[in-house]
Amino acid sequence: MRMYRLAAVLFVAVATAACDSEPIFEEDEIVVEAYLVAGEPFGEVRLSRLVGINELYDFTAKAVTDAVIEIRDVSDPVEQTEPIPYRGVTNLPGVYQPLSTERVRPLATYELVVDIPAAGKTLRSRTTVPGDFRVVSFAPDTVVYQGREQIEVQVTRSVYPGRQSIFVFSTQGLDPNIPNLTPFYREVIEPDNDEDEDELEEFLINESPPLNEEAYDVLPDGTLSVTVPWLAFVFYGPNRLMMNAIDENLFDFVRSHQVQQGGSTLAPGEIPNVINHVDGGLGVFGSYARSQIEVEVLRP
Amino acid sequence: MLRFLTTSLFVAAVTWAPIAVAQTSASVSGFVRDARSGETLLLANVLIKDTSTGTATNNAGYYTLTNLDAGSYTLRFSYIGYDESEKTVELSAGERLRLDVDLVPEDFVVGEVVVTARAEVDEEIRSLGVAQLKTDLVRSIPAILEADVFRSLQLLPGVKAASDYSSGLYVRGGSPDQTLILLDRTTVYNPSHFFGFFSTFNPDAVKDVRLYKGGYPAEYGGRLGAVVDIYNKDGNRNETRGRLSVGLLASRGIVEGPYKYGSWMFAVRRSTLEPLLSVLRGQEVEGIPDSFYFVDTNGKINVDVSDNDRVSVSFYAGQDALLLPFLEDASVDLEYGNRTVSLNWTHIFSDRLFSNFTATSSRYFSRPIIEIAGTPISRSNNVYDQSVKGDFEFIAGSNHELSGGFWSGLFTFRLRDEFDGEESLFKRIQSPYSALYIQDTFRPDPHWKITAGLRANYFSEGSYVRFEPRFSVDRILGSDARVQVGYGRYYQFLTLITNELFTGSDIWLTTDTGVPPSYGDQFVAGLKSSLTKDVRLDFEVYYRSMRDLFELDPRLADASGLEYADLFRFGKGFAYGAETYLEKPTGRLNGFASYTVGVTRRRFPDFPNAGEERFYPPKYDRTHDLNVVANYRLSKRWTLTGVFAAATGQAYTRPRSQYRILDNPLGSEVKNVLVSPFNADRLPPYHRLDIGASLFGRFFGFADYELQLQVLNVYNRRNIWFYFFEFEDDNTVKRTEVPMLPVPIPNISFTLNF
Repeated sequence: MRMYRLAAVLFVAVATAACDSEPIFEEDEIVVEAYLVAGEPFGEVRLSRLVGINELYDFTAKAVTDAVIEIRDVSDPVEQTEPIPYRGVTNLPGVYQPLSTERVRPLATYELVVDIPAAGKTLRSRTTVPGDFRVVSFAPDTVVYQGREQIEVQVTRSVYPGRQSIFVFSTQGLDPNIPNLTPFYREVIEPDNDEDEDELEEFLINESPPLNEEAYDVLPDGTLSVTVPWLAFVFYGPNRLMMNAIDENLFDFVRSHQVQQGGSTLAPGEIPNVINHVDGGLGVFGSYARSQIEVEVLRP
Repeated sequence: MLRFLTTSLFVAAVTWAPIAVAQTSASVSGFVRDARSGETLLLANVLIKDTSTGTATNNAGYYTLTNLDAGSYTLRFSYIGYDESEKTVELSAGERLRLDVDLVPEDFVVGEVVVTARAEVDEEIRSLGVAQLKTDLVRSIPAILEADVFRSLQLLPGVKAASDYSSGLYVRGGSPDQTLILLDRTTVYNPSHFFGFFSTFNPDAVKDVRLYKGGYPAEYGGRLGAVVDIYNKDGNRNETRGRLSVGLLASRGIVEGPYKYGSWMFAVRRSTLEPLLSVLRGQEVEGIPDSFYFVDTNGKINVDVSDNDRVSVSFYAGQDALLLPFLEDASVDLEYGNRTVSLNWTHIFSDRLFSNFTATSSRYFSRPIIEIAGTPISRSNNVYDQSVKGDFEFIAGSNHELSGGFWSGLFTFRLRDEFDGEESLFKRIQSPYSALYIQDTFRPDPHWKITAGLRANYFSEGSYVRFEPRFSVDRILGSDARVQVGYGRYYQFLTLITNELFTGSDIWLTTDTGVPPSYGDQFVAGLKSSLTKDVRLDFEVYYRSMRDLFELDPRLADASGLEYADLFRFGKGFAYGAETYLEKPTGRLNGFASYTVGVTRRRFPDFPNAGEERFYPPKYDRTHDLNVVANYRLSKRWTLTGVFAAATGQAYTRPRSQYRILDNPLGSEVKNVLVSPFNADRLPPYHRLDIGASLFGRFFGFADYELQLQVLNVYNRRNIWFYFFEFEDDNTVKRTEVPMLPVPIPNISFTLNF
């Protein structure tokens, strides 16, 4: 009987140890959203607060309006540069614009600093801007959808410190309407009628998952050759193809966001948080370099 | 490698030879077989009557009793589901008696629940962490569409299922890749049909299923957690017999019989969904595939070369195929399957030295092609494993049984991805591997059994050499109980990339430079007792660690140009628990109940959050897990069966907060972000009752029939598989329940035995 008593004690011990304690989790985080584009003026910064999962999402209601924001070039740890100051837009709560027309330098590292005195919080995040690149050539500029010939784009290589370049390809339909939808996307969107174009909103710019530079052929002159798949085109007609070389922050955000609810080796119902590079808060402060072309896609 | 083995065996032989030579003791050895079919019986009990001295047959059905003084002995042979047999022998000094014994199957056992041998204190089957599954049980348990070996294993303590849709084995906190699956001594890499719904093993073709849940002996290796060792039938050695089953999803048949030199067996199973699919397509039901089937075949030929030599060739071939158009301008075309073949030679050198040699070849392939909007995305994934292995059992001295062996092979993995007609990834890994083991089982007296072993592993990819000590002690307490403790270290050189939703494109990857093998220690203790002659109660506790776990990084976006080690995330984990198993294997009312309380945790640096180092429960973790299986023989013609399962809800991630990326610079889609503590919540408790009835009779005088009527999820429990969170246009978040078996599901099958 002593053995069975021991067994019973062990069962209770295991069952007790199996009770998990709830992990500590802050629900009042500040969310930041800002992007820098190589060679372009500094962009807006958006600030808001987390919203409860059962709450109605309303950016304006959750906007953070009393922040002091600046972006610094911290590429050189010794030489300090003048920070880019930001100011809140009067009629757009939570949106801040730069008080400078300075342009973003490729391969520079910038730090975003957000002070919220009322909350006693400071958020920081750094991004290193990918190196600039350009389209050398592309052909043809007009294709028949799913015809024999696909669009080939030749681009110079972008540079990113410490790793190969990572691209996201975006396709923007320049005449986006329901009759112009390609067959696959027409079935995906399932428009109620040919006039209800609100349903197209999510598909106006179609984006690829992150793709490594090594996935593409390197031509003898060192440029990359990119073949545009038919899957990229949501609309017939004129399309803008945008090649975006993205920084580490955007890359981590995109790749972790796309597996939040499936599409990975995680079990269904396991939802990992996105990879976060904002100290003291959440969100994304990313950068990218972009090059683009325009093509025409004809109906077959 | 072979030199090491030869040297080891030589040293062992020299060490023990003086004892062996000096003695004039007698011995008895032989095969234990089914009298009706001639099939050898694995782990059958052999006991000298009125003593505690005994042994069990090995994986070939062979036993040896040595160091017997001259005299008269009555040997009792027993195996569950068979009448006991007693043989009285007279042994003279030094005599080596060969005694093959045939056991007669009990007539009434058709359809009964018989899981393990009956309550006797010397049964090998009651070794630490071992469970044996009889195919009668597999066929009798209510099953979703098709009787399944793995789904029956999931009812045993310490074994969990990921969901109602999965036949994957999660043994004592281990993921399915931590369980080595052997069919006729050959590794099977993806043993699933129907995208994981059930396993590839045809219950009609299977003779013996043994599960080593943990602390498994040195004979096995290569996996952190467990071993499923499956043996197909040899084929009836006395008469030609057959069985034909027609079910809702599939039909299967087996024929077996003798021939001049031995026996043969051939079994086939194929899905029979085509008529149903055709009707559904005719009614223009969405999502119906153009083509879908699975098929598997098993075969074996045995050659009884002599009393001491048996040769067999066995094969398995299985395949799933699906062609599914979806939406406009999109389709999935998938084929995956396994092929195995093994050549086995059993040679009995003497009454003291038994050997078995096997040459194996295993192949797994998967070829998914998805075409979306004129853009083909394809993968060709192949695993090849060719190996040779040898196992020796040597009775050394009066109390020692020495075993040793080798396993050497070549593992090849080839993966080729294409996107839009261009190769986007090519990876080929070819790695020779070898393992040697030696083990001594020491029985100082009939009440003690001490086993110590060592396994050495070499894996070429990364040049890893690892040693695995194994140790166990078994102490018989009186006539109805035994206490056991065990320890083992285990290494694993492979990892499986899979998804619970879909196992049709599983990929195995290996260690390499920068990717060391996973390893873990297992500590196990058990108390086995017989409450009455017909009721046994087993209790086991376990603790196991898992270190250097390597898994494909779930956030990996594109593997192009990355270093091999960059494909993985590395972590660790642990599991512990207590299991109890109450069984009544015979009688009009028979069955078993298993209950497990257990904890499984894993941790990966920076997952789920940067800088976070939290152990979390994987989805398959369940604190409490109860299964009850009962059979009641209503009459000679009717048998009722019931299976009840209850468990703690699985771990899941309940989002607490949300935010949105409104100015997505890469596309027009707003990025809706969930913020959640990872797997910190539990789904509602799981419970389900399945019932069945079987009617037995004669079919027009030429065959026995069995009609099975079953209903799964009888009381319509809506168990939750997972929740999906959708962001609505009105800026709310809607939670959608994705259920397991959502309604009561009937099943019917009809079987003829002829």
